[in-house]
Amino acid sequence: MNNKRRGLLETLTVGQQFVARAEDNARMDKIRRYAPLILLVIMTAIGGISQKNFFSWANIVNIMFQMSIPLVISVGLSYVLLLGSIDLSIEGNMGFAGSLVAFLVINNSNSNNFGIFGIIVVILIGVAVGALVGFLHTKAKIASFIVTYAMGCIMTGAAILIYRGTPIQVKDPMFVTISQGRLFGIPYITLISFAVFIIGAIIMNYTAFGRAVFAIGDNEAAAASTGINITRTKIKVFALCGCTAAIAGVLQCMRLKLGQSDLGLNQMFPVVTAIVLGGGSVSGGKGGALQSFVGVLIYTELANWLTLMGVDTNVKKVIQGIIIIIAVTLTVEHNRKTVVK
Amino acid sequence: MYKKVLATIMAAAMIATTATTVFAEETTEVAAAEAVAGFEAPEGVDPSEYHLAICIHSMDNEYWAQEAAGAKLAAEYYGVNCDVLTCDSDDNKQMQGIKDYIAQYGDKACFVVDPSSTANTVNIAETCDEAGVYVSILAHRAEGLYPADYPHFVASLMLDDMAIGKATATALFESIGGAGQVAELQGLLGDDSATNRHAAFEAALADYPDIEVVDSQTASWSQSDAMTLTENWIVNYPELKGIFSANDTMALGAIEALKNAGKNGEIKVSGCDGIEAALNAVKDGDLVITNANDGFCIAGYGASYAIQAALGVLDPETIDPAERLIFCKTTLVTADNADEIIGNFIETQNPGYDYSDLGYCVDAYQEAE
Repeated sequence: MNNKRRGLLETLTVGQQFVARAEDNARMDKIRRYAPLILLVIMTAIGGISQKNFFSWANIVNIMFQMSIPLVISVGLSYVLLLGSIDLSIEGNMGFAGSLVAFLVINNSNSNNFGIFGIIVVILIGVAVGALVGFLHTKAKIASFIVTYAMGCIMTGAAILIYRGTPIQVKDPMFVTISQGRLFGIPYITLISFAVFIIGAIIMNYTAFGRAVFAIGDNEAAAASTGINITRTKIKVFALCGCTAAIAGVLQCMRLKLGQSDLGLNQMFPVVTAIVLGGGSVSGGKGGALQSFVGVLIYTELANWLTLMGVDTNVKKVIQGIIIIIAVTLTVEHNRKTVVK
Repeated sequence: MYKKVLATIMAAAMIATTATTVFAEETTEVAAAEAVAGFEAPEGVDPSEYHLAICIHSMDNEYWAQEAAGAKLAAEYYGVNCDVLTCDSDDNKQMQGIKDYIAQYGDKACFVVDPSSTANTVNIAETCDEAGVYVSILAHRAEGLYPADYPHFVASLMLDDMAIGKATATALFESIGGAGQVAELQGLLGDDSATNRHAAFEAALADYPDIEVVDSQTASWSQSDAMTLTENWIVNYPELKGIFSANDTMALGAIEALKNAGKNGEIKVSGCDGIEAALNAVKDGDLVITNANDGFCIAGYGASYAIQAALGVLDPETIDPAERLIFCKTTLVTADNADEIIGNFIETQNPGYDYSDLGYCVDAYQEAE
């Protein structure tokens, strides 16, 4: 609001002022809704102009590869953030899923060959772990960051117990095919991640469960008064997040061919950042599947572009941090809540 | 009354928690008389009364587990008992474990320690020296800390990161004909191994003016970060011929990226550390070279120095101070010797070292300039 408008406002009645403010907010809201998209276009343009290889097919394939796993993580994490909670167990869950799947398919340390059934078992365990987290969070009333942190530790430890210090090498031809195969030039891993994303987006936007999550994130008490079963919804959300974390762990194992707890390391916070870049909020109620997609794409393009630029490795992290702070400042709505937690 | 009961329970709980730091793992109850042929304890000394504590970070890392295995082999050779103490890289936990062990066994205790941090080496040396128990410290040594200043700090055994990094880099440069574009995967920024290996890479470069370094980035020891960087490099530098990696995990990430792009073998990769997956990669021809850091050697001989001093066979004060600062032997692994190394280090878990010959482990002395 500039000074001229403020002057104008002072001549109005209280009621008129309120309406004017509300209109202003609505207008800003509209701009903010499209800000992440605008940011994505700018980021892409800068990338294309400054680096001749940025738009090469090989680099586009790289970006598709590099966004796959964050995208899968973002599907489940978006729901958790919509609730205003956090899931710190994602990294441990991924490490466990990757280690266990390496143990169950053809590998160099035992004679297992469960193939696709191994993958299904691993994903089901991910769902169960997520559901347990949700249960402890809602029934035992433990704050989400505590219970998920603890579960993350348990899963990391369990992962190490599986391979006992020596990471298991995957020898399964199926894993090689999936990690190297392409359909019309698009990597299989990316196609799988898009499929997970689309399912997640449909559940979020076209089911009663999805609407319940938005309602709880916006105002839990109001949601409860309309008859939404808060406990059950929250348990489902954490189960879903456990599921996508396990899928991400399996995909990461397919990419790296080595089952160890480290494959989940440092995977979660970049995705939280990406979701916020896309217009999501860590205090709940705001965001959505598409917003998360845009955020993940911006984040991946940024990291890819910085490497193509050949920025000094010490300076790179600093630049990355600064760009994120600027981007989030521009895109996040500031006036909804007075206190930033 | 209740207070007394409570106090007893508390005390019991505290003892239990400190006791858990001691993995009472397969204590080797080998009596002196039936000890392996070759070592004879001096008159009146019974090795089975002595206890070696093997202090490492944790058992969940291949290299640390190998150190524990090497120190156990040495303890078996001398007929002393041994326990593995883990600390999860926590300074306080490691110190507490050492103090508890001294309290339990007094001057019959001796130590081989892979310190939780470089800074902690001073504490370890002082604590052991004050208690009059012998200790060897592996892999790290604080600036200005010398075994010669402590009668009971028998020896410092380290890996020569500089020599190792230079050797792997040189092998990589040779494999691409000594000329062309190379990229470097650095370890975690600020980590002393990462710093040393980066310096070694730069030192090796000095001898190869035709090698051009197109990019040098940190992948923080992570396989997935290294894979992403390599994917981007392949696009950006079509002429790239080699990738120097500061450890094996990152090298394995680079190899996966090369395989996906169909460039495996075309772009050469070097690693370091000698983890099992990397040894297999060398054998398969995916990795040009790695270095087996050899925990059997550094920890086995480190333990031997401490045990010999404890048993009275070796008097540290009669050793030349410079010879208590050791760079240990390690083995470069190429396609030629990969099978042999895999056999010794992975399959049999025993390279068959003669732990009585202390000089065997010495590659060079740390301050021999």
